[in-house]
Amino acid sequence: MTANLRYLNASFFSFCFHALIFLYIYGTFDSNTSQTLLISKPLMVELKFEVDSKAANKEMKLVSKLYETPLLQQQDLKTNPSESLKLSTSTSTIKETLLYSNLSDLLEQEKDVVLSEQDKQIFFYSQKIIQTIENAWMKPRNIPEGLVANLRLNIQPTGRISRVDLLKSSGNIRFDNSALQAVRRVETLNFFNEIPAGLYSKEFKRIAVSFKPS
Amino acid sequence: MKKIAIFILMFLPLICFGELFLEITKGSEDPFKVAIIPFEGSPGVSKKLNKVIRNDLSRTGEFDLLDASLLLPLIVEQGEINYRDWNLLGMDYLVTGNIIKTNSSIDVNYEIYDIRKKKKVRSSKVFGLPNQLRQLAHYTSDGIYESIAGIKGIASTKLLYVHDVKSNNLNTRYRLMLADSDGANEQTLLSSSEPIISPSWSPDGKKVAYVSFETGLAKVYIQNIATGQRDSVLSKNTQISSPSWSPDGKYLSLTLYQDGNAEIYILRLRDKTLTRITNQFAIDTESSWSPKGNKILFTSGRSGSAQIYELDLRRLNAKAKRLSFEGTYNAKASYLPNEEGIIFVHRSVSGLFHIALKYKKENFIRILTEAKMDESPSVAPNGNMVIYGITEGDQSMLAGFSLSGASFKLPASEGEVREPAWSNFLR
Repeated sequence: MTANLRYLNASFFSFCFHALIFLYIYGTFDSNTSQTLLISKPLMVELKFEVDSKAANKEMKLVSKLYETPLLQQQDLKTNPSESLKLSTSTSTIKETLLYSNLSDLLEQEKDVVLSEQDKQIFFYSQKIIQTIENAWMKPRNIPEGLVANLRLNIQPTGRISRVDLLKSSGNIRFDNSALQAVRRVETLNFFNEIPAGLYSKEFKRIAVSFKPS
Repeated sequence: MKKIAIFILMFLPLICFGELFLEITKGSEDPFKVAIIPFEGSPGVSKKLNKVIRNDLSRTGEFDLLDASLLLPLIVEQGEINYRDWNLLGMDYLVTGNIIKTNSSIDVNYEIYDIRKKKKVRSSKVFGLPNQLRQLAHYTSDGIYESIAGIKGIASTKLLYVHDVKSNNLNTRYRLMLADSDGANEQTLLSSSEPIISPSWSPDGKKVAYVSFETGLAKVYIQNIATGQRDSVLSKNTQISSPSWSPDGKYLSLTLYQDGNAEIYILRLRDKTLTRITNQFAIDTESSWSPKGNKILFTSGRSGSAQIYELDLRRLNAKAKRLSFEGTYNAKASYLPNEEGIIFVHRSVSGLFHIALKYKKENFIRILTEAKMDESPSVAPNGNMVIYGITEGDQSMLAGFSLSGASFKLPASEGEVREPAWSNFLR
């Protein structure tokens, strides 16, 4: 009998304990549940930038002072050349800051041009690599749809593929094998000597290739 | 310290992730174009060898062999390979070789050239006894297949099948046969006046299991190929059928009829203990193991029609999972080597039996053959070829196809040939 009572007690305490845990999890003891509200979706916010028309005008005039007036007219800014001439007495400090900002802008632009040049090169050589591998690839027939196999190639500066790793198997032996065999068949990418050394070590030393029949 | 190193190593790939990522979307589906210059040697030997190699390679469906007659004007040049000419012919690879025959041995040397790379990609030698010419030819074609296609070839594997021949007094002889993968070099393993069915290879290729009715009841026997020694696996007084070896060779799955209907059991060969794995009022039979040995495929009538089910052996009391849903008859299933799909017999709406393939990731089946009465497919160990039984007219024979598109027939000189079983790699 005592044993039964002990079991009853134990089960009662166990019940209470578990009930407490459940209540805690479901947030009964949490006084301010509203704080847990999360915004899961981005809200649409209409942003309005109110520009003081007068100030804007002024700035334009200042800019116009820096450049030659005809240039401004070309740019279709509605400023009166005569007005801008009148404003030639603007302080040198403003002038300087504007000059600097212009310089940094130009530098930025130049950087963009250089970058896109490099991007172009990367794109060009990537296309070449893709074309070479596609030419060597014999896609097996009767394979399931939607197979993807990822390989990593380590390429030497001479263009020799020194190592191939299967990063992600497609699950189909014949497909994985055809991808590996395509790379093995290429063996050497003979246009690699055209790639600048800096670009090679940065981008083309190690590349990932994904075989994904469309 | 070690732990920290491992921790850093684990995260290293994440740090190095910023590499160029290229996507290959287009590939040729055409087979490799290969020119094989007939191997030179003593006339009788070389002719036979060249023929076997050509047949082996064309059966795979992955090679487009240049017609031998077109080769003649180009053979003249010795030693030097004229890559430009071969390139103009549109060839991908060139194979040359020679045979040296002495009294005690035959040596076959062969070389494979990649025409685009302008380079020798393989130079190999196989040798053997003079009476093993076919075997040497199969080894050579496997070597060629491996270096061009990149996966192991199956020309040197073997086939098991049952051959029934009606003799003059209308008694049929049932013979269990062993042959090369091209159907040649037949050997009789067992000849009996009672039917033999369901031959099955042990994974090491040294033993075979089969069902024989010689005692009046269906009984499973294991026979050693080399010694011919044979034993009944179970001395129970019940019908036992469809044996299948586990990939580690330690177990045999069987169908026993001792419970009133067919149920699948697993027999541990070491001590002959039986474990029942299915328990259903319907028939469960035709079990076959997954390549890893953790699952079993079987045919069951539990849904009212014959369908294929898969059972996970690692989980206790696992429920069989139905794999086939198309049509009213799907049976005799076996896995592809990577467990990516199953090959089985499917009855189409028109009532014809076809060999079909279903990939795990796909929810439809691919019908691979077009004959009327295709039965018992067996998958080659490299997963590229399937051999099965067909019925043409009133004669049944073996036929095969490769997933790459080729198909072939192995006609029998007499009688009926059925139930082929493809061995594992034997090298």
